[in-house]
Amino acid sequence: MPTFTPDSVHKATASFRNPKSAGFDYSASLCMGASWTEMVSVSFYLNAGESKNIEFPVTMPADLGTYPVYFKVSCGGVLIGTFVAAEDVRIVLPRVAVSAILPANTEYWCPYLIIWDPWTRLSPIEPYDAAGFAFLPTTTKVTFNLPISPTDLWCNFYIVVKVGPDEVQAFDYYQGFDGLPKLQIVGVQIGDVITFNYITKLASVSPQRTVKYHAG
Amino acid sequence: MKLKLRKAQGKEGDIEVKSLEMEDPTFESASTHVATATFHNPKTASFDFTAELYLGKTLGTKTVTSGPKNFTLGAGATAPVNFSVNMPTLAIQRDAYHVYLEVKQAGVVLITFVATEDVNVVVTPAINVTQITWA
Repeated sequence: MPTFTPDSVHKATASFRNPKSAGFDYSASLCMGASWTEMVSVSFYLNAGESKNIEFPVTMPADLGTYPVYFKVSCGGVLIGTFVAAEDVRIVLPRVAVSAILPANTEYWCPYLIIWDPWTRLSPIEPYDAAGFAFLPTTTKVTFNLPISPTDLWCNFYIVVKVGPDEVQAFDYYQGFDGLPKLQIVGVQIGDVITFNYITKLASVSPQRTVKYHAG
Repeated sequence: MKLKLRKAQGKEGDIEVKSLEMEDPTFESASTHVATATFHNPKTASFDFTAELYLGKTLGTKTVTSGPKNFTLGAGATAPVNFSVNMPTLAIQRDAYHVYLEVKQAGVVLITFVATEDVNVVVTPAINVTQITWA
């Protein structure tokens, strides 16, 4: 299922074919959601029997959820066909890839991880230098270089939710012992490089958040 | 609907067309339709006839035709004859054609009628779409 983030812009491409013996001007609208909200409309001409790939630049909905995708095609102002895409589109919060470098032969702690909550949609900011913490832009992917003997490694993660460029409204840090599950790393070898993807969700004004861990 | 006919060429009196009926005079390109002509033999003897219904822009120009249909009418008899015609396959969105009804006897054209109303042939727009991809 195609998965995108809210308000992101993506391009849908569909191949249209005119099965008739004469050419026509068409207008096709891409709609999303049960209410068939029109996202974009494109006009094009197809000769008799011609197929053409038509691109639809779509700004994704702001609300999270799963959206069916439809096409409405008109000719001369008359609706001649409606089509539903085989796959729905899912709108989710951006996934933030965060990791850090752990020096070898050190404690199995990574206290320098801070997840910048993408819900605030702040632009990637410069590393925040206080106490060695760093805000990581959503596109940043840093990897762990595993320490020695990491067969049963536990990491604690700090999370900062920043709601404005200069205001830390909810500055909390969670460690494995503070309500969030510890991340247990098993089955890896020395020298392995692994990446953890974090999904954070700020559900309301109150700094509720859900953190899920995905290894690999 | 009934189409009215007038003589396009030939001599009247050897055969009459009581009616020519067909569906709505607007047809989809390349579709097949049947028109029914009711012929009457006003003569006192029976005759064999061959009739052909065709669409064209001018007399004798047969864009599409039913092909010849043979039938026999006894003296004073009246009988319907069906003509199946495949409409022209258009490369444009619509076109109009005259309707001709040609009647022969022994290979000689007796008379050709032309309908006072043309038929319209149209291409109804349609479209197919394949699976969407996202980028």
